[in-house]
This record gives sequence, C-alpha cells and structure tokens, in this order.
Amino acid sequence: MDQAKKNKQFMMRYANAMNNEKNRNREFIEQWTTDQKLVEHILFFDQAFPGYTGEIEEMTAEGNKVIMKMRMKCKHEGYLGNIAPTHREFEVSAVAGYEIDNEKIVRTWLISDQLDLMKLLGLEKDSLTKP
Amino acid sequence: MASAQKNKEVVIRMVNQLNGVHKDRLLLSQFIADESLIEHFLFFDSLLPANQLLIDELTAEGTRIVLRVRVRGRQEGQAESPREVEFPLVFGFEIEQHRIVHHWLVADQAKLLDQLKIQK
Repeated sequence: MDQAKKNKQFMMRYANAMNNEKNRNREFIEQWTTDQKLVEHILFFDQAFPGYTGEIEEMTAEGNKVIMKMRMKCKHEGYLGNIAPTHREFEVSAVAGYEIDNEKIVRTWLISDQLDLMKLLGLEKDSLTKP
Repeated sequence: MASAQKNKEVVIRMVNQLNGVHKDRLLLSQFIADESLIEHFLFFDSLLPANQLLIDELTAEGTRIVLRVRVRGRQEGQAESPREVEFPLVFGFEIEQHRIVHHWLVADQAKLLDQLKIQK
C-alpha cells in the first residue's frame, strides 16, 4: 500500500479516536501528534465546545500530506475567549492540512469561516454577501 | 505524466493567468466549467479588483486538487486611499479534461472584514 493511502487510514483512525474519546486531555492527544499547536487548538476548542466532533466530508492525500474537509458539530457550553456560553448547537465547515511522519501528525494548518461561527453564535451581524 | 500531476499544472496555469488581471467570464471559462465558481471569482474581483492568489500549498489526488492560497488585493473606490487586504482561502477542485467541473471553498471571511474595518 502506498504512503498516501496509509496516511489516510491513519487519519481516519485519528478522527474516530478524537470523536469517540470522552476525555480529550493532553496525554491522549499527544498519542497522535507532536504538533503542540494542534494540541493547544483541540484543548482550547474542547473547553468552549465540549465533546465537539468532526465529520469527514472529503480527504485528499499526497505523499506525507492529508487534507481533510470537515463538518464540525459543536455546542457552545464553555467560554470562547471572553465570550460567555450561548448554549447554541451548530455546524461549521473547516479544512485542515496534516503532515504525517511515522504515524504521528507533525504539522497542521486549519482554515474555518470565523465569521460564520460568530453568526451561528448570534454574535456578528455584518457579513459579505456572496453570490 | 500521471493525471494528478497534470491537474496540478492546469491549476498553476489558471492561477498564473488570473493573477493581477481583471477577471471576466470569457477568461474564467477557459479554465472553469463550474458556473458557481465563475460567480465567486467575479464577486471577489468586484470586491478586490485584479486580486492575486498566492499559492501556499497544492495537493493532488486523482481528479481532485486542494489549493490553499492567500488572496491579496486592494479595495478601491470607496476609500480615500486604497485598502490592501490579504486573507486565507482553501479551494477544492475536481478536474475533467483540463477544466474545473466542481468546487468547494472555505474562506476566513472574518479576517477579510477585520482588515477592511481596521483600515476604515
């Protein structure tokens, strides 16, 4: 099996483990990644949106890279920075890129529509009007 | 040459052709068969005329391409001095016979709006 396929399988195992783990603490996350930026990101969002999940919509892999388009399902039950919990449930799109080395995520990037997130939380009225 | 590599070259050619010029339907339809993507490009070009896509990452698998870029442009017309903005965007493309036939995109619109507001 080529490396890209192996990395896709690894990322599916990672997504399933993250989605099903009730206690996503640092030790658990570090079983999957050496990228501290990713660890901090998951911990930050997990305290704002406890138990959030990511449903994979599309996966593209090449060499040591895997790109995942996801639908994040969240409930706002904790502080998001200085924003108090709104208790709203919502879904938002995100795209994340992962670089994998020896069955560990070593580098990541993530882009999501923060304006969409603010609107879903009822916190932002301005928006660009797209076609 | 494998199709993934050929498709990457299609996308690179498209970006090179579109960068820094006003985009019209005729130019866009040389590369794009997906009408909603043409509308997106026209929309962004009306907001940031002759904008540029700076490629940060290009990933290909079969007929699919994921293109991560920064869109750099200048909002003209409403301000005394033009506003320079740059915001991240990711495209997913499906390519058939050298043209994009399907797409999705995720952009951080908050970053774009912040830059436009900050410079007001």
